[in-house]
Amino acid sequence: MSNNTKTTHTKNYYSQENSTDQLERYKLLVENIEDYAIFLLDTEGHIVSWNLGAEKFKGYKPNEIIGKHFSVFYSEEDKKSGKPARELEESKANGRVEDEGWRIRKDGSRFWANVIITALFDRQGIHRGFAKVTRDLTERKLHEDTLFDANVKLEASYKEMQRLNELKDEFVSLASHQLRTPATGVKQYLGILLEGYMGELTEPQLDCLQKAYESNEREIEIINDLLQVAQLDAGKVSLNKAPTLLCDVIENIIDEQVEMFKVRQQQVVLKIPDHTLVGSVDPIRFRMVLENLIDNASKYTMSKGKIIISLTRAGKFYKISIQDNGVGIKKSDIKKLFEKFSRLSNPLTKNVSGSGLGLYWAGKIIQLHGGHIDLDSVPKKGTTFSVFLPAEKTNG
Amino acid sequence: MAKILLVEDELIISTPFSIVLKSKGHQVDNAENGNEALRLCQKKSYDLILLDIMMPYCNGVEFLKKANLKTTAPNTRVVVLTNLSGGNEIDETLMLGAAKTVLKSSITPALLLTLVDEELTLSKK
Repeated sequence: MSNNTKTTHTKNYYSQENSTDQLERYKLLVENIEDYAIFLLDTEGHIVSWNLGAEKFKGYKPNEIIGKHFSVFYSEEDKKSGKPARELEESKANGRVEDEGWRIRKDGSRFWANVIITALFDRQGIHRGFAKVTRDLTERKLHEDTLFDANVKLEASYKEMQRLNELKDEFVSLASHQLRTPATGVKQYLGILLEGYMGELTEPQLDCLQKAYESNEREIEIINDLLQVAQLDAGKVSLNKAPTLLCDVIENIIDEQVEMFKVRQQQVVLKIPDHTLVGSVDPIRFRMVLENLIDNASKYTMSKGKIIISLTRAGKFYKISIQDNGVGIKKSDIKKLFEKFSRLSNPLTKNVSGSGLGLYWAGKIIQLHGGHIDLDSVPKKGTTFSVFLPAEKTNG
Repeated sequence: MAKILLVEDELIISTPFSIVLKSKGHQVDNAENGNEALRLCQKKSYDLILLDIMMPYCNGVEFLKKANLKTTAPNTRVVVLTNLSGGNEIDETLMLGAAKTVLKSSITPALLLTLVDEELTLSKK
């Protein structure tokens, strides 16, 4: 419908002028277009017309170029390979040909051209020549090339980074294993002294050995953390998930750490309304995450403080919260907390050992489970870590 | 008291382990690699082998493959003591008949004795 209207309108418009005027207008229109080189070729490929755009892109005045063969715009290589003649043949056979490539200006410089050559036939079907429309896309091409080069460089840098990262992981893994051997030796010798295999020791001697033993234990702990993080970063951790009663994990940890809470005179409160919640977790790693969080809560809570551990269902998640009334964390420090080697300054830090890798590892392990760890803290009031684990689907 | 073969290339670890085990009256032989352990196993029978994995010449995995203890010494229990944490070697030792693997850096003299007692009790069953 709209096409018909358009045709009628166009007909009326042109009928207002005679054909000589129309031709003159077309000629002026084409000659004055600056953004496209538009010109005609005869059947052999010789240039028979020239417009402003052509002059601008290619640098030739009409009197310098009309009559010359259009292959003058092609590189020597293209000419040798017969590309200009091939394009004319193809255009004649198919009605048109489109090509993008480097073309040559009068001054010998190159420009990236989009070229359309249309074969022209009169009403009797006799071939009368070609219309050639060229656009200068040099700027776009240069942008594309720059982008391409940047992408190639980026890919190379990424691969190099991956290689270095793998080397680092291998190094950390090997170094950690090698470091464990002497630390294990120290532990055994200190152990046989402390456990009386070499006879009775005085209290000051035992005290010195105990301090050496604790320092060595700290070293082993750091090596273990480094190794675990290296394995995690190297993607070598695959979870062995199994249906696990979550309250059992929490209660077992509390039972095992009861001595620690006694020594620190801390009260532990368990709030587990539903003892049937079963999570799909890697039992060993999940337990280590909770141990880590509970141990942290205890470490950063003063003597006689209180730690509340709760297990509830929160929508699609099981939520395990570990709430303490300890030193708390400054707002500005919260983001740093799950980063590698993050050790914050607070009144208890200097008395607390740690590698600064535990929370990084815990966060990643819970992410591997499809969950996350949230943190809410007020300085001098306390901190709540909440572990969210995807809940099993329930019937109804 | 039991006959124990301790296969460990690091003297700083095998010496204190031996001291602790001998203090309870166990008879302890030492081998510094899998080849030495194989030679000892051909001469004597053991109640328990405490086996390291990373050793020169013949490591713990190779020793288990060559020793074929399931056939040659079905009553001998093997516990792997290693400082590797995870990896193919650990899984292989379990597949080759080791009863369990324990991280060496976690062992104390008291824990070593408990571990040995548990294994010896199980081997008598």
